[in-house]
Amino acid sequence: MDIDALIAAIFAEHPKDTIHGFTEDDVCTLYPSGSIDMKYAKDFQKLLQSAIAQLRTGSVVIVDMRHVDYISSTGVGAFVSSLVDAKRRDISVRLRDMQPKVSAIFQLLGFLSFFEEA
Amino acid sequence: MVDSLLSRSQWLNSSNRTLAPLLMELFRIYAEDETERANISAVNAIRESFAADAAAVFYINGKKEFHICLAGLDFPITLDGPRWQSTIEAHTAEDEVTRFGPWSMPGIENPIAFWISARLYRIGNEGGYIFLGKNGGPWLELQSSALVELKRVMAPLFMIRHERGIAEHSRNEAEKRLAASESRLRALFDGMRDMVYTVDANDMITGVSVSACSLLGYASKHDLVGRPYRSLLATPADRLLFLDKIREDGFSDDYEVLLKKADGESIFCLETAHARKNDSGGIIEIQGIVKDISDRIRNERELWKMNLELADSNLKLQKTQQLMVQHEKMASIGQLAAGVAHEINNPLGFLISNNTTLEKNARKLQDAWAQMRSLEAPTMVGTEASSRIEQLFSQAFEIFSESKDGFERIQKIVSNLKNFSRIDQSQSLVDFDVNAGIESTLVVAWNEIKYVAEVHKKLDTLPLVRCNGSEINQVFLNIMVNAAQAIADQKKSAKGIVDIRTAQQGKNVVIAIGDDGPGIPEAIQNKIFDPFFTTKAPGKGTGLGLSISYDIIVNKHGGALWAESSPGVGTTFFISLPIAGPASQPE
Repeated sequence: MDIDALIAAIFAEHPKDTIHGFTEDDVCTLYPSGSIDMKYAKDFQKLLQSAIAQLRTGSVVIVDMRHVDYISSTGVGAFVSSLVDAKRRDISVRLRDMQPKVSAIFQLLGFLSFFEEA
Repeated sequence: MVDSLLSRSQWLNSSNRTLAPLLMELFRIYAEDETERANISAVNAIRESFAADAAAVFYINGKKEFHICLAGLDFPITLDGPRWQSTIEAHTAEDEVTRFGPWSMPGIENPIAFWISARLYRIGNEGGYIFLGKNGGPWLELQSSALVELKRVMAPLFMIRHERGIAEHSRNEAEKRLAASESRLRALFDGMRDMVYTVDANDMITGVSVSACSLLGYASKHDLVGRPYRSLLATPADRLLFLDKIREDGFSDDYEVLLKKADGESIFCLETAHARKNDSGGIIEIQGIVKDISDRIRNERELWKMNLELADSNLKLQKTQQLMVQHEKMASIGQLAAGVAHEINNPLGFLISNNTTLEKNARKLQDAWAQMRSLEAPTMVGTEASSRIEQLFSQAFEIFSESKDGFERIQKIVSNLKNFSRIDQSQSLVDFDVNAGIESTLVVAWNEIKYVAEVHKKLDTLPLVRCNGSEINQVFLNIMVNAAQAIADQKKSAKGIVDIRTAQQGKNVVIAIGDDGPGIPEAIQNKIFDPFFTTKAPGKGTGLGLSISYDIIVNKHGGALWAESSPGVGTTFFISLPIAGPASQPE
């Protein structure tokens, strides 16, 4: 799957917020960093959705959140929309190692429980 | 000022001494009174000094009003500009005393016989004029030159007063404008529905709009001014990120922040701010606007929730639909198979029975023939008739044997059909013979396969597998029929091959069903197990077969289902089933 090209495109658009990821044994792991703000959220959602579309049924997307230190509601929205796509293809989206202030936003919006922890 | 005036007033020593007291009086008046009222006192003093019957000063004040101060009146008269102007133009000359009369002042009925007038000063287009009138006789030359003297001495003073009047007026106007602009800005700041704030270089709040109080639930602005801004945030550390951005770019657009109200509640806000910097680029102040977007967020959240729930119910619906299709399909196949098996079984029963009886009878007949030949008709041995009968017996037994074979094969098919349909009735886990499942499924699928492919089987000896046999058979059926259709779609003249292998691998049984069809294009390999994904023509495929199979193997049995495909070479589906059955039995 061609997730590297997507990541490169995002990186060109948001040079300050690095992102990398790889896929192995039907598990795609993404490592975003920095701020998932309004502008970044849109592109990040595209990345998630493309990853979900390209993975095999039953795959797992893990988003390692340890280097994300800010997320806007739009960012949470990006995750939720991707989750909708993922459900359709029996793909699970898991969030790993969220900073408390980031998970607080998920919690406040009421979506934390929708994501499995990895 | 007075000194300079005096120095220009050397005339005091001249012949015209009568003017001295008046000039002193005028200086006193103007020194004491800086307002326009001084002109009233002045004109009265001039009338008295010149023993005139009427005296008037024409001037334009700082507010651009056209005024006349008439001796004997307590207030200046205001004329409209054109009338004032025409009066002046008609009765004054450039630099000399003008004599005229009889004439009456504008607005005053009684005409006065003799007038003299002079221009006191001129600044740009504007000037001040004095008119003196008397009735007794014409003005003396002495008086006329005294007026010139008066004008010469007093002109600088009048000019200064005039300019000061204008300056004062424009300052008043400017102050008014400033005050108006200040109050407009203040109203803008305080009337903003969004919170407006300023912080100093240390991020301490230096000012907030009134709306901040209602937004954050504070009683007064004083509760906010002087506090560090970050103390208003639900996560104070976020402010550092924000400030970094402002330091770097000079501004921050639509940054979402979570503010904490006085009662502790968090509200989503959108903040836009910019920095005011000094010449060396240091931040002096940050000015920002904060907009409450919690309503919008609430709506969006509802929408997202709804989408999620919708996706969930869609998924459930899809699963239910799959289940229904699966049950329906299996029920029809099962019923059909059971029906056919039953229908065949009855006539088959009496065919076998008849065949057995017939064979038994034929043997009896053969025995009887042997006895008869040896006892009563030995002469018949070797005759043509005798050998013909022997031949018929031998042919009959061959036919009986062949029929028996045929009946056994029919019996096996019927038993497979019954087997396929019988396990369909049960929903629970049984110890299932996978190889037998393959065999019975092949019987059901045989009609699809036999014209397009040969079936190669290599079935290892396997332990019984704990599973739902009918569901596993359905997976076999789906994959076998797919394989046959894939081969058929190639429209090759030669038959293809469906290769079926089973083997035990550790704690699992692996079943591989391969074909030498066209293979699956790489672009869709990841989608083949998605519900409703099909490449078949409308009406030929539901796009559910593999999705249902995936659900059965992976979700219900804890196994694995995958495909390996090389375009142009073929596709092999692998099914791996745990021998011990799924870890926990699904509902």
